[in-house]
Amino acid sequence: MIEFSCVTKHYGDITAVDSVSFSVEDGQVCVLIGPSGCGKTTTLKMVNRMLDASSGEISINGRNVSELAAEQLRRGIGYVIQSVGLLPHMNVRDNIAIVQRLKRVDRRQRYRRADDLLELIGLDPEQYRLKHPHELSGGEAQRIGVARALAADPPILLMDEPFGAVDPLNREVLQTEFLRLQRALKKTVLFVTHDLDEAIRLGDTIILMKDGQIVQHDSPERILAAPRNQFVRDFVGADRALKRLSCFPVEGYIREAQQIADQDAASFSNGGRGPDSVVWVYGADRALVGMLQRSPSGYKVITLKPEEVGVVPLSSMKEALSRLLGQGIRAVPVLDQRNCVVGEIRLPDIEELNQAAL
Amino acid sequence: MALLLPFIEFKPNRVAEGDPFHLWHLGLTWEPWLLAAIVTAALLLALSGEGPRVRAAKVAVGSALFAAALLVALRAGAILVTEATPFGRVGPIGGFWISALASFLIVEGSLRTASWNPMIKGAIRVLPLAIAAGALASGALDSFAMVQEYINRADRFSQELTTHLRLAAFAVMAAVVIGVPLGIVAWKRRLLERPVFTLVNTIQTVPSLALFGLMIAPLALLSRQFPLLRAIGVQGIGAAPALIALTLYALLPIVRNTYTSLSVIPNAVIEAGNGMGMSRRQLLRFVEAPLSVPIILSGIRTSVVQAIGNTTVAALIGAGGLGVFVFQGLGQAAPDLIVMGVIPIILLAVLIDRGMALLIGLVTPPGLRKDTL
Ligand SMILES: Nc1ncnc2c1ncn2[C@@H]1O[C@H](COP(=O)(O)OP(=O)(O)OP(=O)(O)O)[C@@H](O)[C@H]1O
Ligand SMILES: [Mg+2]
Repeated sequence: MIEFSCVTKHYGDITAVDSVSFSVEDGQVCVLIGPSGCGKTTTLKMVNRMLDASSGEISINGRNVSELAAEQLRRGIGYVIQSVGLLPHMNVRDNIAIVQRLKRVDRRQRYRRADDLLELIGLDPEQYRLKHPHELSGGEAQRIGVARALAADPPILLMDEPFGAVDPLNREVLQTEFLRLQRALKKTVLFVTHDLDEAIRLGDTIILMKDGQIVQHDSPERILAAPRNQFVRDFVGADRALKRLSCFPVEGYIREAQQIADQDAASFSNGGRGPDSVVWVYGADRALVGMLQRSPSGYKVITLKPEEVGVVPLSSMKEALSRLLGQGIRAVPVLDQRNCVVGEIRLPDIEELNQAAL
Repeated sequence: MALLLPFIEFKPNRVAEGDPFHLWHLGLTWEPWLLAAIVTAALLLALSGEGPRVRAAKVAVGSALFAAALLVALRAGAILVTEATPFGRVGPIGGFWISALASFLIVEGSLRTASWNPMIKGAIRVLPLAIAAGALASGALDSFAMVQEYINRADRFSQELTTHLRLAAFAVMAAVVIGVPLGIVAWKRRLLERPVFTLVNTIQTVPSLALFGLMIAPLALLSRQFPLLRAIGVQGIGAAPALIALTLYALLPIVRNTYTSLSVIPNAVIEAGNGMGMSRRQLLRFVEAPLSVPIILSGIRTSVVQAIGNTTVAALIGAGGLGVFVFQGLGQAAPDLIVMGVIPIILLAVLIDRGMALLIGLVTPPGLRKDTL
């Protein structure tokens, strides 16, 4: 557990963080959000003593961090900085293994761990382990940065806009990845972001800051449903109904889907499904290839690209809705890793979820 | 041109006026024709297009051109210098030098664009040097004026060569010991950045002769005031002022590159290092040193090459070195003696330069090689 009590940080005359108190429970993700310069990074950096608080107390599992040796403390905390900061002269494997090297873990074990982590973050070890940072895309480098922070299996992660430099599409992929990892690893995470959708999607709790102070610390749903004051309302924006959909992963709303093999599609006749039902068509290895559509002359197959229409169980309902609207279809397929349809999300369910909130 | 200009000159003795000979008037049989054939081949190649084959042919013909020119020169030496002229000597002039220059341009021009293994390229580059060295060692070049000058002072030569190397090496070592910390300090302490760079830049702009001269007076004074200093050899002239002046000169590239090497390390990388719990020493070992050492070394490379050249001037204030021959040659109006001093200086500078380049390539981590090459 991370606990802040009345923590203040001055830079000369500037008060960057002003008497802040909050705590993050074990295994929870706490997201810090707020306008630029409100003190998010400063707050984060005081946890691993990259900065020392001017007054107040920060403790981890009941121990005051100012009493721990900074280097020792830092080795037990994964730290992901916005600008990634991979060591340019080392390959990906050595970059991931560096913290363990500091801890004098032997080489074979370090490298095995690095390969495992590459698998975990969804990059093929064979292909990536010997690459150098200048050969990576922005998104890949960000993932390696996360892998490096995870290498020594620290119970606590500090992440400062870890997906800041990634385009929106890849950012969604990385967020999904993060949720998957977090579900498996159960770290205690303090996460800084500028992006409200990201905060809503990833956070168990959200801290909204302004001028170094906490304005509201609540669950994402509460922040959206019960903004404490005008500042929060403005920050959340007019489309909070839509934003709220980011709180919910689609996995809770999956309906059974109808699907047939493509060679059977030609001979398919309507077996009495209701107006909402869509029939998905799969090809060889059961991966999605299209959907059936009624036409005057019977049925025909419309080809679909799985990555354009599909969502995964950890995608948010907001993503599902945007796919629905974007593709102009009545349901979106939920896919597993091999693009097989495991179910579908239907528009009425999304509407109902939205109604419930307002 | 190479075929038409006088190729070689004959001097009956050391200071006499040279007597130029054309290629065709040397009394040689087939050698001039060989040279002419190679020149024709080179011309034909220059007119034909591009391509790997043409390039290989150019390299071969270019190298052959130098070898043939050297062959003609030493055959000529054997004919012109006979028992009847015991003090006679020959020296290559216009035609020979143009052939050598053309050879260099052809070979270098083709190598530059060739994507061959660097080892092979290196071998081709040193080949002419090896041929010349071989000829020298075999005694075939003994009739050459330059070599005569050398033979007359062989002992002195190796002594001055050692002095030269020692002066340059000590100066650069001292400059590293002073310059690297100075560069680090300039980077760490913003306040000192300007004064440090103003100082080393100013030193660099003082003409070398003047700087050597400037050393004389204060050191002579010191030496007179403090007998202890005099006892360890500090005087107004000699090695001490030369070393100091050379060190001052060597400073700028080292300080500048040290400073640059630190300033180009991204802040994010330092922060990441600190953030993962590196101690001060680990940060130096895993982050700062690997990133900055190649850049500092390339500063040292510049310094060494410069120092080899500057040490020549040190002979003027009695510190010795190969400059001794240059200034002797100037004094005696004996150009061959000057050349004899200058050629080893150039060779040394080139060799050290290549050696340092190799070393830098070795210590540059693979992830960085792309940007530095
Ligand atoms: N080293 C420093 N010296 C002086 N002032 C600083 C320093 N670092 C930050 N500040 C100031 O402290 C305040 C908080 O900075 P901080 O970096 O924590 O903001 P932030 O919320 O992370 O902003 P952003 O979203 O832009 O990253 C800002 O007003 C900033 O100008
Ligand atoms: Mg910040």
